[in-house]
Amino acid sequence: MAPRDDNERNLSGRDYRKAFGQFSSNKTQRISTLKPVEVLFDAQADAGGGVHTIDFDKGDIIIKQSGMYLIIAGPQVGKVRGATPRWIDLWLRVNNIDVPNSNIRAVLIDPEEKTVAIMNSVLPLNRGDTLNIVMAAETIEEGMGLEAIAPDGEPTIPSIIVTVVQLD
Amino acid sequence: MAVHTLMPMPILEWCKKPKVLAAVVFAGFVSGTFVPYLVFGSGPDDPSCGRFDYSRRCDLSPTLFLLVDLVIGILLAIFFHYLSKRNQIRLDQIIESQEALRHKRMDYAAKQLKQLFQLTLFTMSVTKRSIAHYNLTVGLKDDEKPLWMQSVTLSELRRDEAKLGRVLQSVRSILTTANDVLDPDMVNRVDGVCNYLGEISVEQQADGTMEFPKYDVCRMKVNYLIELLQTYSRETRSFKDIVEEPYRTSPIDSEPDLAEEVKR
Repeated sequence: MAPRDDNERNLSGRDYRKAFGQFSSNKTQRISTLKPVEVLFDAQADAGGGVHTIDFDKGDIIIKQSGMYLIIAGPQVGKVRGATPRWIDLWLRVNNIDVPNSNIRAVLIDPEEKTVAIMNSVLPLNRGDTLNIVMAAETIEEGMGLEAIAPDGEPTIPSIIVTVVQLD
Repeated sequence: MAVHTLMPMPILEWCKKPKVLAAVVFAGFVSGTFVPYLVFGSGPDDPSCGRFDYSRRCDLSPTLFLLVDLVIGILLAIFFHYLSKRNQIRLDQIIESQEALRHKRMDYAAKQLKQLFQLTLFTMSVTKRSIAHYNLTVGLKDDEKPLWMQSVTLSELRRDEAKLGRVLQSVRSILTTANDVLDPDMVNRVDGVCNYLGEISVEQQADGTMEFPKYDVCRMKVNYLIELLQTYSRETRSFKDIVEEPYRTSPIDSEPDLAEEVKR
């Protein structure tokens, strides 16, 4: 059998050797507890008629192929009220264990301020591993969290976009 | 342009080479065997003594010395060869027995892990059933003895949870004892599933019902692992990773009512 190219296509659809997936949420997710909260997803980018090589269930991104993965997440952070600078942290969790050196922090002052805090990581993941984005905030009084925005005449801005790509 | 200079190798470095050492020992043996007889003459002291005579009058002739030394050398060589071979056989036996033991441990670990994860799956199902039983009692009227039924089903639920904990503990014990024979990747995968399941516990909702959080994901993870454990081969002593995937859409699709929650 001839070796396949990454972008090779078969007649029934696209056939991918490396796993990938893009997940997003069109739902605003505000933090209502001081404990770490898992970020939920509600949409996955279509695989062009091919097989989804990475799956998801609510907040769990489920890896179906072992390998080294690049994870990039762009949460749209914001808050509802208050003018005091408040932090919101986001980090990765694999199999319910926090991933070291994956934590990022955004500080929000103004409710009108909307920031995309980029987090990225490279991790070895196995088939069946679950990946979560977890967030925690300084306070629950100011409605901090991830905001989905629907501007007029533009596509909806998701509260978070996560891209997972297998590297090897 | 790089200038290459030849540095003399120190004698100590030469002596550390096994070939040089062997050549020195061999040269010493040869010179020790032959040189004294050449120095002291090749003929016997008494002309009446033959080359191979040995008596009161006749000392050993250098030729006989040489022959005796050769015989002793051959006998020593045979003896050392015998000792070396015997040691080698013993070493081979020890290595074989260790390898057999290692294979047995690996076979046992693979079999036991598979059984324990099947038991995990079963216990999770039983826990889910106990939760369903408990949830049936929520909202019952007083004359239907809901508290009594809840206490019974809750104790069943706690028993199932404790059993799941014990099973996971057994899995971790096997990982600890067999981590030198199992593939590190396999250990990581099993450990990952244990970590995930270990953090899951039955939660009570605001309406009083119980819920097994992430039950489907837990089942899927355990199923993946059982699939992998079932590929264990006693011939190759390895697991074969499964990559084929049936097409399946995500369990959660975009929810139409979410648009209301989008901030404008």
